[in-house]
Amino acid sequence: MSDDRGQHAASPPRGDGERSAPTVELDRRGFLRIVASATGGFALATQLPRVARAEDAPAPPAPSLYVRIDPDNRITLAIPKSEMGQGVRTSLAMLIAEELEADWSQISVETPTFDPRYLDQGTGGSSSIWLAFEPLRQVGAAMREMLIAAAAARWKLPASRLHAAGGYIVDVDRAGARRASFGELVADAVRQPIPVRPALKPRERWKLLGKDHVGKDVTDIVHGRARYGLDQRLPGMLYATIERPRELGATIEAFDATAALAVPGVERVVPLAPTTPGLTLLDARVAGGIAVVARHTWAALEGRRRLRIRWRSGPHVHESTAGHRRDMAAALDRTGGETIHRAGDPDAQLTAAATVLRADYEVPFLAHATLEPMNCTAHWDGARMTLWSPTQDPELARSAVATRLGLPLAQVTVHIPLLGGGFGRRINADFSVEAALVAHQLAAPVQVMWTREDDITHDFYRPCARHRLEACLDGRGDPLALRHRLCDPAIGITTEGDGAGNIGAFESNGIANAFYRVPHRASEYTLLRSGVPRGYWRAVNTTHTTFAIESFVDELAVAARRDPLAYRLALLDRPPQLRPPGTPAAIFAPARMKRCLELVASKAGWGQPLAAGRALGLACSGFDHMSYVAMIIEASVERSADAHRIAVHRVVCAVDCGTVVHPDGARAQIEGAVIQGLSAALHERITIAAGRVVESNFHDYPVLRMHHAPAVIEAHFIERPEVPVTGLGEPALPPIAPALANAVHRITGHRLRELPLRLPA
Amino acid sequence: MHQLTVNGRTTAVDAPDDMPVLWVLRDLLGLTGTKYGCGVAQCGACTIHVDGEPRRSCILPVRMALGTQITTIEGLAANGVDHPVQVAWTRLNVPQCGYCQAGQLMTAAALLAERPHPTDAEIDGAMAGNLCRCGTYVRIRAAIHEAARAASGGRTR
Repeated sequence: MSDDRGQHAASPPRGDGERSAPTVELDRRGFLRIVASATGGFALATQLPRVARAEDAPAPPAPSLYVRIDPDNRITLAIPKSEMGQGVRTSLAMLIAEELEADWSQISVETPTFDPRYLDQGTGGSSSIWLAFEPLRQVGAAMREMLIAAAAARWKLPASRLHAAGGYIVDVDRAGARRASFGELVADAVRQPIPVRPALKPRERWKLLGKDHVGKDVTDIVHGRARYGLDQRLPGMLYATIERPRELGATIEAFDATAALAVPGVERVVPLAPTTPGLTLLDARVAGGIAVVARHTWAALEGRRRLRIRWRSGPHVHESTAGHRRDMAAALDRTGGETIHRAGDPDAQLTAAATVLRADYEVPFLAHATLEPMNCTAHWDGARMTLWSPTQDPELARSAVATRLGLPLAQVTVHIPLLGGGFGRRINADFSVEAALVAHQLAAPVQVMWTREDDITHDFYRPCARHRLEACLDGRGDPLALRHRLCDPAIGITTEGDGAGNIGAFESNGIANAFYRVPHRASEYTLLRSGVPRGYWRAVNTTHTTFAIESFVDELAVAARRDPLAYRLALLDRPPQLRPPGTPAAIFAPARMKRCLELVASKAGWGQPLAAGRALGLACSGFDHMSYVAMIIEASVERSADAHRIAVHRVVCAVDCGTVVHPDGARAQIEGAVIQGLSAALHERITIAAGRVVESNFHDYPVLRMHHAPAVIEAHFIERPEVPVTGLGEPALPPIAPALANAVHRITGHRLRELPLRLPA
Repeated sequence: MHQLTVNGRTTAVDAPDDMPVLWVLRDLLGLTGTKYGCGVAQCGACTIHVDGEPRRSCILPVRMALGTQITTIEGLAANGVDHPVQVAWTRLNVPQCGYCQAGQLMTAAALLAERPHPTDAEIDGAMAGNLCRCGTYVRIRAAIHEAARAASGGRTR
C-alpha cells in the first residue's frame, strides 16, 4: 500500500490558531515492523515519523491486485485487512469504489490471502482508514483512468471526452449513445500504463463516502453463511484441542494418553513443547501442552478430559494479584523510576506546596474474550504449510510459523477468514504457530480450537497498572505542578523480550503526551516483573492512563471548586509544552479538543437539571490514535439491601476524526467502544493466584450483558475536511471509565479509584 | 445412528448419545452457522430452536433432541422468506463481527413468537443470556422493536 500523504502536508495552516496536523509519514517497511509490535498509533508516530515530501509519493500499487472486474461487469475488491467487526471490508471498499465510479451494488469484497505485495496486511492501531484513505482511493482512480484510456483507444477519442459513472465509461458528447461497461473494457484496460498520480475526485463529487451503507457481510451473517476461522471445513479435516498448563510457565513432567486414545474418534495425541517467550517478536509464545486430535470436536474434548498429565511448576508459581498490588504500591513509594518526561521542577513545587493532592488509581489485568475463541486451521502437505488463520497480522503469523518450522517464507501460505472479534488479541501469532505445529505431525488438515477456558486462561492480557498522581494548585486553582508515577508489567517485555527498548515511553502513552496546561510536570515509570503474558487490548495503555488522568483532573476541579468542564477548557488554552521524544511538533490541536468538549456538553445538557438521583460525568481523550473524543455519561446508583449497582442510562460522545468515511460504521465503532469500555469499568478483572489465571469462563469473567447496556448511545461527529483522516476503532474507549467514575462521585461523593468500579457496601 | 430432524430434514447421524447438538450440527452436518462461544450455556452463541423453544445447543445432548424439530439460523428464513428479525438486523446494520448474531437472532425470534410486542425490559430479560463482545446491544433492542412492528404490519401496540 502506498503512503501518499503529500496533499495533507501541502495544505496551508488554518487561520484559527490551530495548526493543521503535520502529516506523519511512515516508512512502509518500518511501519510493517512497528505494526507487528504495537497497536498504538502513538507508537507508530513516535518511532518512525517522517514528514511527507512530494517526491516521496510512490506509484500506486497495481490496481489489478485490488480490483478484479469480470467480463460480466461484476467487480470484486480485495480488501487487504482483517475484518473483525470494525467494518473494514465495507469502508475500504467504499474508498476504492468511490474513485472507480462503480455501482455499489455490483461490488463484492474479499479478504485476500496474505501477499507481501499488499505491503501491509496487519490490522491494528485504528490505522486502516487513515493509512488507506489516500492509497486506496488512488487504486480506484488509477483503474478508472485505465478504463477511460482503454475506451479512448477503442473509440479513437480524447480521454477528456470520457467519464466513468455507475460501472460504465460514457462518451460525454454523446451521452447515452456511446458507452461501455467496465467489464467490456477490462481486457484492454489492464494493458494501459498505470497512472503514477491519478486524479482524485473532489469531495463535493463523492457519491459513496460520507453516506450510510449496509455492511458487505451483513446478509451472510444474518443467514448463518459468514465464514469465521472456526467455520473452515476441508476434506478429511481433523479437529484438535490442546491441554495447556494452567499454571503459567509450568511444563510437562510426564503424561499418559492411554484413556484419551481410547475415546472413539480420537486419532492422535501430539505433545507440544513450550516456546521461551519473547526472545524476538517471531518467537511466538506458545504455552506447550498435549494436543488431542480427533474426527470431531466432541471426541477431541472428551479425549482431552481423559489425559493424565503431571506438571512441573515453573518460575511464576508464586505470582499473585495480591503480590502484584503490593509490589506496584511499593514501587510508587520509591523515587528512582525511569523519567519519561520532565518540565520545570515539579519536585520542588510539590515540596514547597502547603497542600498536595495525591491519589492512586489501579486497574487489573483484562482478557480480550473475543466471542469466537482463538483457533486456526492448518495443513501440511509434506512441503508447504497452509493456514486458515483468523489473525490480525498474517505477516507475523507467516513469519513466526516459518521461523518455528524452519521453512522458507514462500512455503507458508496464510488465508484469512472472518474474525469473530479481535480487539488486539489476534495480533499474536501463538494460535497460528500451535496449529502449524500440530499439522506438521499429521497428514490431514487440522483445526485447532481453543475452548473458552483456554481463551480466558491463556490470553495476552491488558496489563494491570497502578498510577500515583500528586499535584499542587496555584492561587486560581489551576494545577501548578503534577507528578505522575506509573508501575505496570510492560507489554513490550512479552512481545519483544527483556531487551525491548522504549518500554516506559510506550507504557506511558496518554501520560507523557497529556495536554492540559501544567507548568511543572514529570512522569516516571517503573516496571513490574511478571510472567503473566501481556498484549494489546483495544486502545492499549490509554485504557488506564486516561482513567488516571481524567479522574484526577476531575478531583483537581472539585478541589479548586470549579466546574469540571470549565476547568478542562481553561487548561486547554495553549498547545502542550511537552511532547514525547521524536514526535512532530504540535500534533495536538487544543482547539479540536475544546470543540469536542463544548459539543458534548451542549448535546448532553451539561449543567441542566436531571432526574432525581442522576448525574453526569465528563471525560475526554485527546489524540488517541490522533482523534479527539469527549464523553458524558448519565448514571445513577441503584441501592438494594446488600449491594449498590451503578446504572448507566445515556452516553453522549463528540468525536473529531477528521473525515467520517462511513457514518453508520463510525457510529457502530463508538457504540462498541462504549459497551466494551463499560464492561471493563463495571465488571471485568483477571486475577492471578499461585501463578494461575483464576477466571475461566463467562460465569466468573463477566462481560457486559444487554440489561446493563445504556438505553442511548449518541455519537456526534465534527467533520474537518482540512485535516488528515484519523483512527476511530479505539479512541472512544479510554474516556468511559473516568467519565463514569466522575459521575459516581457526583452522585455519591465516593471517589472510586480502582477498576472495576465498586461502591462500598 | 440417530435420526435428527434439522430445518425440516431428517438425517442419520453417527454420534455418541452425549454429544452436544452443537457439534453434531457443526462437525457432522456441516451447519456452521450455529456458533461455539463458551460450552457452558453462558453466552448464547449456540442458540437454536427445539420445537420452537430457544435452547443452548452446547449443553443439549443429541439423545435429548431425538424426535424434535430443530431449527438453526440456516433455517430461520422459512421458504426463502427472511424472518422479520433478519430484515430488521440488516436494515439497522446490527452486526459488527457477527459471530454472536446467529444466537441473538434465534433468541430474538423466539421472544417475538412469545411476545409479539416486547417492552425494553422484556427484551433485556430475554436477551440477557446472549453476549455480544462488539457491543451491538443498543441496535439489537431497536431491531427487535422494528421487527415487532414489521411483523404486525407496521402497527404499534
